[in-house]
Amino acid sequence: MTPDPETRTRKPSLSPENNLESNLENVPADTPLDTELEKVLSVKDLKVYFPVKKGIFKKTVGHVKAVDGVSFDLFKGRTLGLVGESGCGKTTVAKALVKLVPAHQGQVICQDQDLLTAPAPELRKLRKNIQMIFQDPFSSLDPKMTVGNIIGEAVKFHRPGEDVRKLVQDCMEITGLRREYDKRYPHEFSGGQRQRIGIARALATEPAIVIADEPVSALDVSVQARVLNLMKSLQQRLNIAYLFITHDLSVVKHISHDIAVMYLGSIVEIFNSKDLKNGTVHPYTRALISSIPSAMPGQKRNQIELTGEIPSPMDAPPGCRFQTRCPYKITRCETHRPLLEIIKTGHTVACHRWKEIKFS
Amino acid sequence: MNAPEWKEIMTQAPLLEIKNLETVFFTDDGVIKGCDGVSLKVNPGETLAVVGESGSGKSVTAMSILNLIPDPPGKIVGGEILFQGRNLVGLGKEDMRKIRGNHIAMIFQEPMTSLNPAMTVGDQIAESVILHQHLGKKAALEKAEEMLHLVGIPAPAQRLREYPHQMSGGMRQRVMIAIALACSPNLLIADEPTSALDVTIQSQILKLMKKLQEQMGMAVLLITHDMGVVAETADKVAVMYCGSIVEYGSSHDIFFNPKHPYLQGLKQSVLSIDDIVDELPVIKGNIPDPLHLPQGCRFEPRCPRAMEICKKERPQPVYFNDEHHACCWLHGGDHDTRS
Repeated sequence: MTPDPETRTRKPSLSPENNLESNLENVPADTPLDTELEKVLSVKDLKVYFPVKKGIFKKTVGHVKAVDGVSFDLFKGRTLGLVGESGCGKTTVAKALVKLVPAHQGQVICQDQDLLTAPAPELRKLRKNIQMIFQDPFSSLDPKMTVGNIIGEAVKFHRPGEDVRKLVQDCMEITGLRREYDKRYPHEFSGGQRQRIGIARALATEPAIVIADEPVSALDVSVQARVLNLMKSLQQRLNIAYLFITHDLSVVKHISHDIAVMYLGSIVEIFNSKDLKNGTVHPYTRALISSIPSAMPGQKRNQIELTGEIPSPMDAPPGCRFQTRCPYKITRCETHRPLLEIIKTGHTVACHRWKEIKFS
Repeated sequence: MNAPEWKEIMTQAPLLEIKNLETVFFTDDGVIKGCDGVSLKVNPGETLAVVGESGSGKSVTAMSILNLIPDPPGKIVGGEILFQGRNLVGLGKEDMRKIRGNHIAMIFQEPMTSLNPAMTVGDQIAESVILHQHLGKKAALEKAEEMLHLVGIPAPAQRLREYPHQMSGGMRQRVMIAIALACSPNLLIADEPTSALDVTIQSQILKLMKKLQEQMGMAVLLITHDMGVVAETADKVAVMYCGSIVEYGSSHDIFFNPKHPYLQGLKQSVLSIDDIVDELPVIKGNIPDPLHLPQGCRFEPRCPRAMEICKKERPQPVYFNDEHHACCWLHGGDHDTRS
């Protein structure tokens, strides 16, 4: 699946009138047209461990392996959906990418620099390129700041000497908020509008990468549909790469080009979203898909019944992480941890038995 | 409850009947109608799902049944809530306490915040058993252990002594269900019981609720915004918009023969993994400000098929069969302008 060359070469423009063109000088105007997808972020073997401390001397007695060896790439203008149950480490991945939590090991490469080891001044420049949209539109906006200040705060820092107010209002306009609302406070807005404020804030520094952590989970279905439509159209216009984190497979299918499924700190399968319904091979992915409630009453899916819950990441099982809940477990799974194998371009899986298991 | 006794109730009138319920909130800016003439019935043993977006009045309806509306600012100003033929509106505190948790139990939305963090889960389950069934502490804890086993928590004897923070979200919701079911209620009100849970846990919890419902023969009033959950569990569905029920019918009618434009729009904006769409269809506009509701049909400003009459008068229910009805002028007798 290659996006049409048009979309990839188009200059990023924030507003329909292109009145922000002057602000875009630092963005390469003509991105070279090559046949490969343009990689904007590369994550290699990322590990985030949290120490567990006990006793009066706060001795480290173990580690919670929240993220245990995750690798993926983000491409310009494309969305990678990261799905998994709560506690699987998807939010920790997001936080580690923007250094909100320290990573234990691994590399996050953006513009030929490793975010994890970059010195502070360099890092600050790179941060402009990576922005985040948070899950809860009710608690992620400072109630004592006006919307204009919330959106403009990062702009003042990253793009000094510009007309902040105008820029903020432009951002508000493209996310579907009225320009004159910039003097209002967050409590004056509905949930869907607040999430738009969150999106406008993320877009204000003109990032190349936006990490969206469950951006629609707190919203009603009709509002959710509108926010998703907005995010999709902004991506097409501004050529942003999204890392879209969610637990909802039907949402991820709608917005993503590729989907990565996480379980207990590692990615078990990455595939093209077109393969979601019939092409996936990992038992966990299949179980996730089959546990989505059907859209119509009386429809029966071939349910793969998962027993139990995610084990604690503090004492993750040896071998395959999924072995405690997997209906297809063999002895090899108990001792050997499966590595990601390539099935075809854009489809990798970590399972010992993916060739043998036949899903009816 | 044993079988013959159960049958007797089956043949009787509905377990819960709400007639024209009006719950309002007095705020500094004016009066907000949380429930604006809600009428519904729950028969013994059946599941009624109440669906709607946030702010549509689903939770207010549930809270009104148990008289949990904070007063002030809220107040039930009209209508009747008949539970086993007895009107719960205006019932004294003591009488209400005997019903709550005993005959009608409730599961709240957030398993993270609705358990007491300073009490062990065993004590929390035992609390209502001691109060309503007058058991001693020891017997009550035995009952609690039995309940934990019933809701599928492994090693219940140890879990009994644990605190909520030691459990995962799915476990806590199981504990909530154990508390709710400990006194074998006739009616269980579940307010978004699975919204905070993961899909694999959600399907486990929904199955558990269905199984326990069949075992104990209770009725369930399920409040949710998730049409998928409705499709999986409900016998009857009531769709709420701006404090009133706009469509009511069997689950089959609601899904295969929706009549109200709001329901039709709502169904379209639900994402499905089965089909691919480039742009999702959306219902235009937002839920109106509860202080300034439209004069006629509440949905008129957002309705793609609005007519002149919709602006002026509120539509009355139009029946399509014994139960299935919708409040919409499109289907209204004299005003039938379908083309």
